[in-house]
Amino acid sequence: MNVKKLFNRFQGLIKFHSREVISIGLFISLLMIIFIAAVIYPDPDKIYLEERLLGGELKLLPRIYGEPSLRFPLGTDQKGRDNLVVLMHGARNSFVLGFFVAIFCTLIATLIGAVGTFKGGILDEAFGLITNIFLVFPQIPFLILLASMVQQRSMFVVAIFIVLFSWPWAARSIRAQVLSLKERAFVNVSKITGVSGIKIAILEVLPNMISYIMLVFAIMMSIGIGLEAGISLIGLGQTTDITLGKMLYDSVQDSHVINGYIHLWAPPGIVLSMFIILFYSMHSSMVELFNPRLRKK
Amino acid sequence: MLVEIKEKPEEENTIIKVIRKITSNAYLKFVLKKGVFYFVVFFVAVSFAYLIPRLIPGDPLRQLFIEPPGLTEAQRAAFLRKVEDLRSYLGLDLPPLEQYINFWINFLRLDFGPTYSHYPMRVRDYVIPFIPYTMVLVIPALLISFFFGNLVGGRLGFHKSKKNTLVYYLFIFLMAAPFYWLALIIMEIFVHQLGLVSYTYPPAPSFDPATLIRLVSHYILPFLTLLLTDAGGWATGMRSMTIHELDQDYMWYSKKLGFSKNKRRQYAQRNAILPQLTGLNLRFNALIGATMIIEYVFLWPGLGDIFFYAATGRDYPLIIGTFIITIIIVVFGNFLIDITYGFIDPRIRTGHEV
Repeated sequence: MNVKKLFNRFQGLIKFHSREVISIGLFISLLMIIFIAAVIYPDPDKIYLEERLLGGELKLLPRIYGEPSLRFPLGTDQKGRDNLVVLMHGARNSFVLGFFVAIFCTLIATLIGAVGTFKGGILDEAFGLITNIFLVFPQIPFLILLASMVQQRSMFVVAIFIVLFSWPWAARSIRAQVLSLKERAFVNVSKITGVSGIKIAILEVLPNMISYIMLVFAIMMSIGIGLEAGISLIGLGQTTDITLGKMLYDSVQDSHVINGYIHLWAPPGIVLSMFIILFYSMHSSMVELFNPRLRKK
Repeated sequence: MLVEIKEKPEEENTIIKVIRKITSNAYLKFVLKKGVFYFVVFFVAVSFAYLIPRLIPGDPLRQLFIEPPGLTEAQRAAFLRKVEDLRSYLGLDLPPLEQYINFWINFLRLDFGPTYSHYPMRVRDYVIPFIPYTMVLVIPALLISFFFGNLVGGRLGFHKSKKNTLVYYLFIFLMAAPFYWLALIIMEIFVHQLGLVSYTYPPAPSFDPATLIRLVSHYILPFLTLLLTDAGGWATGMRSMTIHELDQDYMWYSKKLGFSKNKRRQYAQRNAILPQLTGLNLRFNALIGATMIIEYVFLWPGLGDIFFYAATGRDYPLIIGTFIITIIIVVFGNFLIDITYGFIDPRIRTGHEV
């Protein structure tokens, strides 16, 4: 009886929140696959060898451009690495980088959005102006300029570069949200009772903002992952690790498309699109969850 | 201005009305405000171009001229003297403020020094021929995707059917799939499978018909990529805006009055397009960056292509020059979009802001 009730409840959840369940389920399984595989195959740079006839002699050479087979489901790449293992590591590194970018961006945005509006006066004006100025800056030319000045770029450095020119969008949307929350009755009540501005911001407004900050976080993650892949593709991303963008860079550099190695250039893009679509669908389902007015009647 | 109109009241046709609207006090004030703002943006951005190479640790000159191994003491001193000579020739040994002022003076003369990779040529003369290549991609892609995406998006939001939902999902895919990967898919279809375009740089433009056709065939693919990604964003945005408009009271009222469906859609679209217009700026900024990457992928010799080769070849004057010219284009484009928006939005045009 109890089990049946539980099942019924579960059914209802799937029926009314199908998109949420599917997107979160897909996302978690994607992450599990990536992280578990990275543990099982810890070395993506391992080069597989094969015997090949070279000048009438059998020689042990890297197994480059191997066709997809049971042993190598996505074939081997231009260096003779197992493409599937490279893909797993690339996806993991991209995810970690996107996570860092999203955390830093959201922190900066929350700070500028919340503190500026509550302090008011010159600080508010200054923060607003800085946000608007940075909003006009085109990200990719700035990233190319920064990257061209640093020859050795680790993942962390690239993450910082991306944060420098990605936070304004988040800051503007959080600022707008804070401005609308500021006019609510409960803020006025706290003001009348003599609570200081910073205290109101942290104790009263911030808890109401958590859901919105999570939305911004999800979008920032997809922006971070996408931007990193974009500048890695032209060879100006990080130089130390494998990411999805680095794989696409190899594909462009070695003309995989023209030479017909579809198993090399398609998978990184599919994983990237999956990441981005999942973040967007999480974003829109979260919007519906937190804002009941938008839910289906 | 009012006096002029009083003189010839009978000739006040629509053109004069439009001119009067443009030059109305509130609108001029708006344009001036935007102009000052974009000047500040421009100043900050160009100052970044001055600061970034100097703030990042490492000496560009020492990176360009790597000391050869196994030098004797005298050779080493000569080598260092050569580097220092070059430093004073480039004016890099002056105090920071003086360098900064020189930087702006050179900027006002549009002189970014000689390129390293094509030595005697000035950066300005080298970069300018590449600007049209980028602009013929950016401007049509921005405008056509805006109109096409909003037209389709409005219809998708207004008429609900299975087919429309399918089209909506297609647009979601176009919006979410990274544009550079979409470029690879398009390249796979048109270059690898169909073999319509060769994977080389396009020929230099000329009026010879055969060359012109080849140039256009090279142009189509990057243009298509930019158009599709952008149309996806506009269409999905417009769809949700239109759905939001459908809930408004005036839509119910016009329905009760018996307006035709097409008429009501026009009203909804007209109201939904204003928020879309404010997004045009951000999309333009993103599009400039996207074009740079797409140019590299499709071997289209625009600003992005030379920017990339300057960055990998450490051609510092060319990097800075290309960057500043990109900033000029971005700031000017943003300003144009803003003042156009101010003209279209009646609240700004007449100065009756809420």
